[in-house]
Amino acid sequence: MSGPLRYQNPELQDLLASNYVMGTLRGRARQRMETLMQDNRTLRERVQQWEAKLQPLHQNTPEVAPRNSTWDSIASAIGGAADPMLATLKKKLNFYKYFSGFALSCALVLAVLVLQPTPPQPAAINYVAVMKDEAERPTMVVTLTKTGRLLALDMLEKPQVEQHQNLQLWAVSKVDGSISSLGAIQVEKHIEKALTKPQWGLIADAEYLLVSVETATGVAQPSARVVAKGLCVKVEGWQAKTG
Amino acid sequence: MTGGEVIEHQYTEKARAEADQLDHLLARITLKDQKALQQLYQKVSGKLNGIAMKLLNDADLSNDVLQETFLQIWNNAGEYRRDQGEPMTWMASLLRYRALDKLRAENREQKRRNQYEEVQTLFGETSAGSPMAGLLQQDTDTKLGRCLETLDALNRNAILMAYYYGYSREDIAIHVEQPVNTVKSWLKRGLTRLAQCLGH
Repeated sequence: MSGPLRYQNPELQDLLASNYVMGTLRGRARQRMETLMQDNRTLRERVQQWEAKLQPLHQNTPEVAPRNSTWDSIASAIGGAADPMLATLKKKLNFYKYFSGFALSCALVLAVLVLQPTPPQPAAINYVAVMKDEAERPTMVVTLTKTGRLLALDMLEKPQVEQHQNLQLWAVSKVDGSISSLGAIQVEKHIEKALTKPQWGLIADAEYLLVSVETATGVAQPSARVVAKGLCVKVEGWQAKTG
Repeated sequence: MTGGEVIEHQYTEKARAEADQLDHLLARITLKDQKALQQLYQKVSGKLNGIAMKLLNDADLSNDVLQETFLQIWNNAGEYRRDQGEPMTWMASLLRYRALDKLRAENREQKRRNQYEEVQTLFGETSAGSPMAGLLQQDTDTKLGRCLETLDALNRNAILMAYYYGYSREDIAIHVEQPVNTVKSWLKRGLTRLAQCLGH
């Protein structure tokens, strides 16, 4: 037999299929096999049979955690990231990483000049939420630092709020979806507030943070007017060197 | 049902449930559900990267291959058919073929020094320290495990070196200090017997 007919031979098909799956068919022979498979259903099926038969060999293959950068590359390659918010978050985080480094440097200089020098404790950011408006534009960035349970909120764009209204920050639980207030916030470019221990617990449990416009203080649930919402992401791992 | 059969039945049920989950995620990925891809990645990337590491023995290359494989899954999830194979088999095969292409492109076949000892255990008088020994031991309840054990050690090890570690015939020949034709014979004989045992 010659040409395509030759490849109708079951024994040859099986030999080719097994070698293809095993990986010993290389170079041009491998390319030729791939071309043949496109038009030869039986050959494809034989390859699938061998794939299935040999797959159990990987049953005990130890898992190896991929690098963080691998998912980032996949996310950006599939067009706008698997979670667009995460892509934005990463950009923001770079800023905050450097910002916190800068702030630390300033604090260190002050400590040297004014106070007794004490070993500087890096105030690492533990959680970040990039808050977006309805049009998916980032409008606020919330960072949370466990040291001092400090919440910092930066408004990239201030929402429209009437005089009799106020803004309130909320945490949405990832466990049961319940919404808890983290208190009122001022309409200012940069806000900082220390959270209570129970409030920090809400952060650790939060899937989302959101900001609503309220006409009264102390309300139990956010109004329908949510002006910003963002995933609350734990970011300690991101500060370590990856990739 | 015996105790062994009960355990096997439970395992099968568990494996089926996991396969169903992966199947469902692939169906969502076909509809370009990015969250589904992320969930799939969380579930299988460690395993797939582990398989790539065995083949490539290089973290940079294995991460590259993993990335390429997930983009292929993203683009071609619609080609997957459950009746043609399990989801993990399909994904592992995509990854393996990419890894094999990478091996050739990077000419990694001459750079296997670090893997020498691990592979060498396959050929020792006792293979107790071999990762394959554990694998074969745990696989004794599977048809593949039973069939592999019936093969001549040289034939079996040649198959494992090729499939599990990505060795070419030439690489195996260098490793065992035998002519390439001898290795080809081992592989052919081993695969023929394996096929007979597996009931192809």
